[in-house]
Amino acid sequence: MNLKSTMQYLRTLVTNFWIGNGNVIHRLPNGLSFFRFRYLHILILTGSLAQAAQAADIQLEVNSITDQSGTLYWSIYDSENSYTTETNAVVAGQSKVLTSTFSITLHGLPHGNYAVKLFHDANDNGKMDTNLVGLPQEGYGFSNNGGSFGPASYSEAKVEVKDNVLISIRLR
Amino acid sequence: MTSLKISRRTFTKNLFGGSAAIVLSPSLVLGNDKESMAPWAAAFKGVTQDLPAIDMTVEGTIPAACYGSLYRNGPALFERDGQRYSHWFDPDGMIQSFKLSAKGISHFGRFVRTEKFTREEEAGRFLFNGAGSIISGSFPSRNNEDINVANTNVQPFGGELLALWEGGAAHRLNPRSLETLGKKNWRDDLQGVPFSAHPRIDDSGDMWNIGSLSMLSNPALVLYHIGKNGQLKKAQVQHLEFGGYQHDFVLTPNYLIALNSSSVAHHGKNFVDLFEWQDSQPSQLLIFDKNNFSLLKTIEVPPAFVFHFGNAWESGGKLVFTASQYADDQIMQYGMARMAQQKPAPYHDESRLLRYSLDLKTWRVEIEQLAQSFEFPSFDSRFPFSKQNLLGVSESVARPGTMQSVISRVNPETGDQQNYDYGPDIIVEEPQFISDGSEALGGGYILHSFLNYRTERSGIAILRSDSLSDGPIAIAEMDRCLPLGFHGCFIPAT
Repeated sequence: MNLKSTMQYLRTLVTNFWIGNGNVIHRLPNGLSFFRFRYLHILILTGSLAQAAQAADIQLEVNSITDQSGTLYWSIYDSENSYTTETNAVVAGQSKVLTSTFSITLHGLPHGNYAVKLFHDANDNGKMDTNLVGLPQEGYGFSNNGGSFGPASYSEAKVEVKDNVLISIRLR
Repeated sequence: MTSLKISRRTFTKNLFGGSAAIVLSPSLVLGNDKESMAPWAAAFKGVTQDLPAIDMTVEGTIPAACYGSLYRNGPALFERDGQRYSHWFDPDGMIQSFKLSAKGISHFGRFVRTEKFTREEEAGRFLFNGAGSIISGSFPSRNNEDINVANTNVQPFGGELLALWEGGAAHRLNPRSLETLGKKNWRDDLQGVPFSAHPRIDDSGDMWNIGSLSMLSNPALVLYHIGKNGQLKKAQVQHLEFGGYQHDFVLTPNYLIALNSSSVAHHGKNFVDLFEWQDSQPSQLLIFDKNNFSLLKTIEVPPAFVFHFGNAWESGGKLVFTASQYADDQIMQYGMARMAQQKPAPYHDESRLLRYSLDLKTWRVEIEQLAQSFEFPSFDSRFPFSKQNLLGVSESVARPGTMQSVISRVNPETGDQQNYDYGPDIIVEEPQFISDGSEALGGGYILHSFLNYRTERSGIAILRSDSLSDGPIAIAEMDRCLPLGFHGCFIPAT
């Protein structure tokens, strides 16, 4: 387990978000146009319920949220590079945490591999709280609940999406 | 006593090469549970619930100097929902309280309500892997605190008790009820930072400690200095050349000395699995200046594995300390797993008592052996920096490969030893020195707990420190079989 990289990841996860007005956020100046394209794509499909060929829905479900406060941030990646570098998320969002579970359905994602990262900013201070030696003090999670001893690698977290799928993550 | 040196290869030979019958036994080869249980399996059976107060049966006379409370901590909850921990590091900590008074001796025990204990109690099953055990269906953990079992030591501090673990925060307890009051927060950014189970108190009442980050795959050591009022005076992170396992440290009037052992963290499935013995890696004595925590000197010493150090003193230009040292880390990798699995010896090379003498000018080190078998060293804590006899437990010379049945006192200068052997049915635990009220160094009593694993009765015994080979002057037992524990303290009645 490399805690330094866990921390880097978790910090990046938060600081990379640009927090928008709606419930959907986008991020990263470098991939903005690309991201917007994807973002609109998803919104359009969400609105129209259009079923493009080779597309599926992801229901993202998060449970075991111990502190019912703050904000849950989530992001979905479609490649090892984007997952590892936390750039070019396919879609990302945030939601106020009021209960111990959270669920959202994303429509019309092209078939392929996806991996999810979560972070719970329980005290809404805009960052992952860590202690002196960089150990995370707030909740986080990965698809497949991967990485039992440290953060999940892309191969541990990736989910093949070719039909509608439920990705259930236990916030750790 | 013959030293049973066990490398991975010889241990395999010992295990499988003993007789043809053993070699052919599929149960042993497969390592399944059909292998016969150790005669002392009861010592690792564990308990599942808090233990209400009961009176013990006392023989002999309890000296008034021994009125007070003996507290002990140890791994106690071995099993939930049919799953059992496979390493002694892992069961949840329970504090045992023995109250000694003119009325007799009573006992009660209470689990430390860690977050882990509470969550798993609610779930009715283990939720996380342990430091040394893999639990099927376990959840990934957020950080080290998810598996904080507070099971290693219990020490008084600031009117409370601290239930200590080495991989995370200490838990505060009410000394009367043993109720858990929460985690000890030395400073906000130190929450969840490892704090070893062996803080040391200096002659002014200040507390010092280390926290090893090696088990978190970070080759670094946190140093703590805490005032006697509980205020943190200093905390500092020191990066290390490699992440050797560290459990305890040495405190002297001017220095704090850590041993970066040759059991080095690499990759693994859990904390214990990370560590690998490296014969070619010299261990390091890290000499820190106590005043500012600067690393003054790193001294290479032969590969060493130590859980516990005795006290230390400086005299004649030399700094001297003692260590219960193993030839390698088999005790942690293999022995403590065998014990938790209730399987018989051989466990490990015995811990020898060694004396390290450091020349303060040249930093030359001399290492001498004082005793062949010695663990759980303790001393008259009123004089932490004085040359004084060490108390501890050892294994019987007559019964190699068994559990420790002997209470020992060793002179750190001459190696002279006084022993009392309780015989084959008794396992003795860490002794506590109790002053008889005089100012004399080491004058008084020795109090220790024990288990008779044949009758499955636990007890405590009192010996005179100056004539311990005469055996106990008082002994108390009860119809309760406590799991073997690690460390504790005695707090005199006020």
